[in-house]
Amino acid sequence: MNKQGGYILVQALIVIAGLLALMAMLAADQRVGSQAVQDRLRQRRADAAADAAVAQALATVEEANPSVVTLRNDWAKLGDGGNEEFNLGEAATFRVQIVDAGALVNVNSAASAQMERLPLTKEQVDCLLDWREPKTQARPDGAKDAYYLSLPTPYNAKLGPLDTLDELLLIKGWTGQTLYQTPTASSQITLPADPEGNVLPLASLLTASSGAPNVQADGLPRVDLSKPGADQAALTQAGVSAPLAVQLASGTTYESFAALLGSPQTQPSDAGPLLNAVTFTSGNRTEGKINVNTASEAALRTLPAMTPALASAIISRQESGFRSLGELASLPGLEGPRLAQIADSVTVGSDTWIVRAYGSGSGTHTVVEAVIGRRGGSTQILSWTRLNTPGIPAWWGWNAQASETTNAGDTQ
Amino acid sequence: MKRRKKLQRQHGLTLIELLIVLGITAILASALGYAFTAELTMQRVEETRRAALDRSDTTERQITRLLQGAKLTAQAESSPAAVPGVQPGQPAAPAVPAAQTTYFAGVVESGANDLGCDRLTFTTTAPALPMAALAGTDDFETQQQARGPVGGLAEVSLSVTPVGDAGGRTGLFERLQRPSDGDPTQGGSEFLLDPQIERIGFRFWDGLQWVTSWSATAPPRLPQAVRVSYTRRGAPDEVRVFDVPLPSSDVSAQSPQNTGQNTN
Repeated sequence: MNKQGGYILVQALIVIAGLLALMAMLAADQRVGSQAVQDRLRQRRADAAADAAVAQALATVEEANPSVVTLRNDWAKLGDGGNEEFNLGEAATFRVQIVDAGALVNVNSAASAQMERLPLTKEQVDCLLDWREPKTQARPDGAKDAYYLSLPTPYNAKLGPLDTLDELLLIKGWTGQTLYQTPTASSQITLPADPEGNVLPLASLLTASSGAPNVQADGLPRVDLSKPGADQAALTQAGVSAPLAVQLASGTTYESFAALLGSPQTQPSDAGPLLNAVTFTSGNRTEGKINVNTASEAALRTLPAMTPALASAIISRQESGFRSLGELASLPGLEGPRLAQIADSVTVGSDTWIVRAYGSGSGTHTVVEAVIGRRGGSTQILSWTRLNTPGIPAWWGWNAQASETTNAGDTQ
Repeated sequence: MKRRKKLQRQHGLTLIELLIVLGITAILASALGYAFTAELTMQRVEETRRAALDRSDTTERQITRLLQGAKLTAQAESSPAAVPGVQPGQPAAPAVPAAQTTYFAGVVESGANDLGCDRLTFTTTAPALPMAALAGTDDFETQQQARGPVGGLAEVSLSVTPVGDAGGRTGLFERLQRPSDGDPTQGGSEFLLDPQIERIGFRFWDGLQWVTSWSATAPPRLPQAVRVSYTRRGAPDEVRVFDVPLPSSDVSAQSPQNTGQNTN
């Protein structure tokens, strides 16, 4: 009896073991399948979170007034410089920062004197100038087609403005180390640092696209002095003294603030109104000027006439902001030839912003840098780049961890 | 005696029982065996299906990423006279119209295609800088030697018809040229993006409708979205479709692009 019972028990156990093995195989199958689906979903969530970050930035920039752009505006506060984490639910979050492109040095318009103050070699500066200028004669340390066509994979020099910042890596002498790693070369100015005091890569200070509308702070058009026949009434209304207004209207033309403010007819008291009301180009926007309301000390210090004291005076004014360019003339220590030299390179408005968006979904992440422009009344994304960095890019200068969390929908 | 009889009776019962048990065992064994073979077949089928799905997903993600980075450069955005840092008396650089180096063109190359146009060529910020270029410490020429030019806009062309000699290989080809050079028809290197794709077609949302071709020459604009339809080898009737909205497009229902086409 015992013997037979044992036989049946063994049989039953074999059958159960077989069934269990079958179930285990099925379960393993399902696991692999659902893992693959989940991985895809996580990646999609991270993508969607980054998209949401850019969309929110776009909506915020839409509200900005391009004529006067200061750090007190909503766009500057969105995401608390990347420190705020927006929770979208389902383990998807994003962090976002909007940077005024006018706060950065524009590689398409910066003069060589400006770039020489950055941690760049003479070869890098000359080659950048050769790359973007249409002339075909290379500088002594520069390079034109003759050099680029001799490379293993030949290409032509651009001879035009750069489209993106990473286009710099196509230029002789420029590498990822120059742009995206902590600079080793010495420079005359102190570069921006992250919250822990580490010096940020040069990419944090440069942009390929920036500009400002060519209007007064209140949105009225500026008086173009590059052509004869300036509007005398508009000049007087802006506060320009009568004799100077008459003289400007009578046909004397100027090419720059440097020439205008340096002219013997211009009284020191005229500097403010002139900065507010005149321009030297008929274009509807000016490109590459540095916005004194948002620029870092490093960006301001690239201007040759900018002293450390002036730069810190401007930085301390940024909390309240310059409401017009003319207020620059009332800054202590900024007058005469120095003001004349600086005035041509600065502005108080901006029409271009850079959005840094970091979307993540349980372990995966999507890093996007987008450029948003306000052009002719409409707000649009000008360029969209998905970066390949393994985490938050070093040049963003963000903390590794967000310090605050907001549930989406709770914002503002 | 009594005890022996009992034993004998039990023995007989066990023989019948044994037969029944053997029968049940045989049935169970064959059922289990059948289940195992079925499971193995299912596993194989599932694996193939998953691989195909992964492949499709990877390809779709790649195309999506390339398209999302699509960028056109507006020309003569501003007057160059406003360049800062120009010394008084020194003339500003004259405005020179640069060659058109950015484009977005969907063309019908080899006859009618019910999926849309069959070649899409555009300039894009994708695939962005490789990690090696971001982290590299070699000098410019060593890096050029190692991985060729990086950075700037790339020119991408997608089609199942290779531009160069594909050596008999078929599938979806991607031609990538970096930097883009103003010639949208050739250059760069061509590789097989997905050998399983048999046919592909692109349609473009012009703000009001899907159109089957796109030309971004004058004025240069990007479509609001691109609809990609494709079929895989072995399943010519199963058309897969996905849409990619282009973030940098300024085309919308309020501001449609006049393509002069009337399609459904």
